[in-house]
Amino acid sequence: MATIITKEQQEKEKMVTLVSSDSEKFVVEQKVAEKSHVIKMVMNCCGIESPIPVRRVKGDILKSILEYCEKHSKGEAQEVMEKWDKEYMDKAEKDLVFFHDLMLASHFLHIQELVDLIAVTFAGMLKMKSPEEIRQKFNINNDLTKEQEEHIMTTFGWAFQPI
Amino acid sequence: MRGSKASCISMDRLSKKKHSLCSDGFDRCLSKLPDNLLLRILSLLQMKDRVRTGCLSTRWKNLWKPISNIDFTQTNMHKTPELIAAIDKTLSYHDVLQVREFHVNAESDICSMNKVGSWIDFVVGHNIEVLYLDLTPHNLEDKYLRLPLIPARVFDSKSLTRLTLKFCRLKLPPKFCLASLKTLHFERVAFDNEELASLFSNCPVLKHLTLKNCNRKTALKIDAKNSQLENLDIDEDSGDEADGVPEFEIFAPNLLTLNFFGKPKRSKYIAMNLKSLVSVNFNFLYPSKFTAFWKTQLIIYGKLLEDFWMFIDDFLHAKVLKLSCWCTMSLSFKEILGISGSPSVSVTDLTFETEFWKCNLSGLVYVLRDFSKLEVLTINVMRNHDNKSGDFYKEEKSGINAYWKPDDSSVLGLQQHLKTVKINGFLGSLDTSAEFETTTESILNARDTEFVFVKFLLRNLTELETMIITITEELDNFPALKKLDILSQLSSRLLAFSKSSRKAQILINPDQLTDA
Repeated sequence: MATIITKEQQEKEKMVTLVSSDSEKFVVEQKVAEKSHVIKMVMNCCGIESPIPVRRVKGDILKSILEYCEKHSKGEAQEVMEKWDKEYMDKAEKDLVFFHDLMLASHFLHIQELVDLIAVTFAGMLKMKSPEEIRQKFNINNDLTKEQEEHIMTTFGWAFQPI
Repeated sequence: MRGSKASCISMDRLSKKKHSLCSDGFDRCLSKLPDNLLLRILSLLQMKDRVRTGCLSTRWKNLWKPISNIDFTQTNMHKTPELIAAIDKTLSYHDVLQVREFHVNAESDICSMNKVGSWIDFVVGHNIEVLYLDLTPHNLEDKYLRLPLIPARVFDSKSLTRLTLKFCRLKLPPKFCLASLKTLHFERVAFDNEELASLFSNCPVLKHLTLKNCNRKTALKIDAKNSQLENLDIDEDSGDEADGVPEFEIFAPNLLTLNFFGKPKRSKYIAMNLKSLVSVNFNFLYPSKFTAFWKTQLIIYGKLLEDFWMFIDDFLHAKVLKLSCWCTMSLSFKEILGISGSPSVSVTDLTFETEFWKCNLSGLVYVLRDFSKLEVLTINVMRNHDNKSGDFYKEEKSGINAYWKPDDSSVLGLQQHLKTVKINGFLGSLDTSAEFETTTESILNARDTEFVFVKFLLRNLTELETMIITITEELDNFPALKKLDILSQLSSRLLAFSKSSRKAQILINPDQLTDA
């Protein structure tokens, strides 16, 4: 049996528990969790009494996402938010595997603002880079044949001039 | 408990789609992201960067091609033929149903207009929504330069919502309808004024129009009586500085907001039927030839200023009004000449700019006497860049000081609704860089006009509740101790002024205080 909490208390505090794929528990305000459309939908149909499992997202990722949601539920001035977002991204992009998971998870949870923010940061990593540089950075295996590669290079020659 | 079960199921079902998220291993790279996310990332890239990803691997080969926004404005290609070939190739590889956005700079003196026409054919045939076409020639100095015609196919588009055209001539087909066009931006576009009116009639949902340096040598008449146009920006800043460009005229009964930028270049400004207008921003700079010696040319500029305030008078039924230094000057001139009587004024929210030239403050007395519905007054302090004229006005002998007589004029009790006054950039009327060695007293004394002005406001505004003063950021150039000294002396000066409103409180830099 779950601990008995009266409805009044619930309404007052409006806290909700989220459980990550590796069973880590996070207790956050409802308005923070609502930043995710998926969690919002689940809360709307099932209430917030029981913990909500977020099975596809690991604890460290969920923690980071909730940190974002919490900051963005405060309604602070735009400049403050932009600065915060930048610092948040600077920290997150250091570990590329983590960063990919962050994007997948925020996409899965439907947090559009965060997906957009990550997309912009990703685009920044691809800017002004040669194909070889990109392959190295993201560990991409080039499986094109030499002919295919040459065909692309000649068709779109203008895009491959020295940067 | 039932709730928990249900939520569990829904998440489970979703989680079956992909489990890469929880699996570990280091091969998770960019390529593992689903197509829609990769497309989202690619669509943020410049064309060049985007096309280059085509040779990363098989997965990436065709990935970029469905992206429906094509932007060739920042490719930095050195030769136009190269650009043409690149655009041709890209369009031919775009095997998609829709090209949502197409942005291109094509130099009209090199690039064949047939070519441009064929691109437009292509994108209009592919349900274009956003079109940006800049035909500014490579060689702007060419005397025989002619504005090319807008490709006629543009007017066939039913899907176009936003259109930007630069450097061309408008010629409308006899019958057309831009059924979805909401936003239109013309820059250096020439047109017959009748054609513009006809364009309005054939754009049923057009809401926003920008005209930048259009009809530079001919009259600009905006007849939008058959239009739902809500927002209009007029910007005329560049080009030859010749005076007396023919008139500007506007007739727009449905217009809600109107913004002017650039210089007042036209010989005459006429406004007719703007009955829906809510907000007007007169962001005019000073006319090019307006110098420190305007006093010797008072007759010329007197006429200009006079015409101008008659124009401003036509906008006073709006609720929100912003006046640049030049327009404030125009109102001051009216006050100085003792001309009173405005049409009924409905302005509740007024912003004006001033460099604290004494002759330019008289307009304030006029405003406080005649704008009886004011609720919020915002004053933006501008830097007096023209130092010579600054000295000129400081000269007591010039007689200019006679124009600002705060002790003689009173508007006491005339403002029944004005509760908030904001002054932004206080102490900013003079350059601080020459004052590092001077004492706090002389720094403040040099800006005495600003203090006299605040004193005048406090003495005359009986219903004032809050005066928010934000000090110029230039104060940060001083060492911290000096800055504190200036702030404290300034506060004590301001607080010493007598206030006619008991409720009035003065807040200095309220935003920064919360930070500290």
